[in-house]
Amino acid sequence: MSGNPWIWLAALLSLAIFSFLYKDNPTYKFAEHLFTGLTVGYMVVLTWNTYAIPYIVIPLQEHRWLIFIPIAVGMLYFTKFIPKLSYLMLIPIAISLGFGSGLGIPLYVEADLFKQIQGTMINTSMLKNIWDPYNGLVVGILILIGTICTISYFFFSREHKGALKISASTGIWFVMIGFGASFGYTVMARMSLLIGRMQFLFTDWIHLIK
Amino acid sequence: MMKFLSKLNRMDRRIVFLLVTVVILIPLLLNIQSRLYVDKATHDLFNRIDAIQPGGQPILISFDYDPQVAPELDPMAVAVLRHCFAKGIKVIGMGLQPQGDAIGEAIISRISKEYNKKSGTDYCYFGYRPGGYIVMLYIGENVKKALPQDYYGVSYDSLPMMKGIHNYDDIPLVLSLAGSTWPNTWIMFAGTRYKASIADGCTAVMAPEYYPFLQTGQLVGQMAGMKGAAEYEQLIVDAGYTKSKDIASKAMSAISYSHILIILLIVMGNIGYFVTRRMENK
Repeated sequence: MSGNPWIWLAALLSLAIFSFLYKDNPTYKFAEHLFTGLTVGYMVVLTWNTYAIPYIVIPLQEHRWLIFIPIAVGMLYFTKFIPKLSYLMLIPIAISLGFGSGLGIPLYVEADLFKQIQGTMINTSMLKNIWDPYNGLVVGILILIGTICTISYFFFSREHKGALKISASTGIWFVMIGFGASFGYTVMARMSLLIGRMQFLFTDWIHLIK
Repeated sequence: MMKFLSKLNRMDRRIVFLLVTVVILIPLLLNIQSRLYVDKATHDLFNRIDAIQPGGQPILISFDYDPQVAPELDPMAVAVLRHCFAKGIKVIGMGLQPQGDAIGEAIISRISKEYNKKSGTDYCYFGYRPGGYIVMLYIGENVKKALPQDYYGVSYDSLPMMKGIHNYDDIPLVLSLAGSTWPNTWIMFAGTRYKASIADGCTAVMAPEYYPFLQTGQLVGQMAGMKGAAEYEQLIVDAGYTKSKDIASKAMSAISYSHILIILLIVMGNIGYFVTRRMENK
């Protein structure tokens, strides 16, 4: 077994969290609260070191007084706690929202909309390798059919009858297959996290796995 | 028999937990390993990194994840760093997630010691950089502005490796290791605006979300979950960069057997459900 007290601490806290699988108990509650408190404490210190010191303290020490403008605007967030002045909180919200939207929306439209629509188009490069899993002709046709049928399923301005019913029914199959694949990946992810913990307990703590 | 079948979908969950634990532990303790089928996306990422000139331009690895997803992403970071250091490719490390700060430093300093690599000349680790997409935009304009000093307090100008690195034009690949939507942000701000080559190592939960970006070429490669890490470990062993597989490869048998157990439990649960419904209808 390991002689490192920190590994022992990590192992015992892991077992304390796992004890919840049997039933809720004070050991689990202690480990959970310890984790929450540590996270908050770590974030406070990290925020002070990575935001406050380089962007507030150091500029003020260097007599860069213009920094007072963004500091003052940021401080307006705290007017939330003064009911008569709480409307001033909208100023920093508007600035950050406007900046973020102006910067992000054009890039989002290009990256997540135009490029994805372009991706559904069948092009001549797909003929080079028909069975390519990402850019082959077969996959291209499936993506085109799947995209059109799935979108038609969410078209509610008309009753799903006739051709629309056929495409909507096909679309729902694509959606369900997609959900199934996503669920399968989620199971794999959760198993991976459990295996990671088991590897730590049985490799680093109890040296059973080599 | 019917009564037994009807009880299948009411099995105590603690029995399921015990079965999962046993099924995972047995292959780990017996060290059962098997060869993997390597996905095209992992192959593409490996080939992209392998094509980078040793001693030339560095790749940027962004440790954008928290400790809770470390079992999936740590093996990816280790495998890619081993590939880079074995081939002599320089590495810039940073992170956009606060808790990834110490994770990245621990991994990069551990693996660099295995290959006798020095901070400042073979790799630079800049730690957590606050600001998210602002950092990505800064790197596109002026890397020095985004990363003024490294994790150890050495200023940018004193790092020999960073001479000649101005923006994404000097970084052939950005690899985001993330348990959330950071790769999406990298694609938007670095890939779309500055035409940077972006690849990602993501958790298995997030992998389906990035397949459309692989299909359009916005992502040049991907490692998906612990399996992606195991695939990369296999590739670097096959290419001769390391001699043995690591932690992710050893876990693959455990994952396979646990999946078989889950499939059996789902089938049993469905049998129990339909039998119960039939009994109630009678």
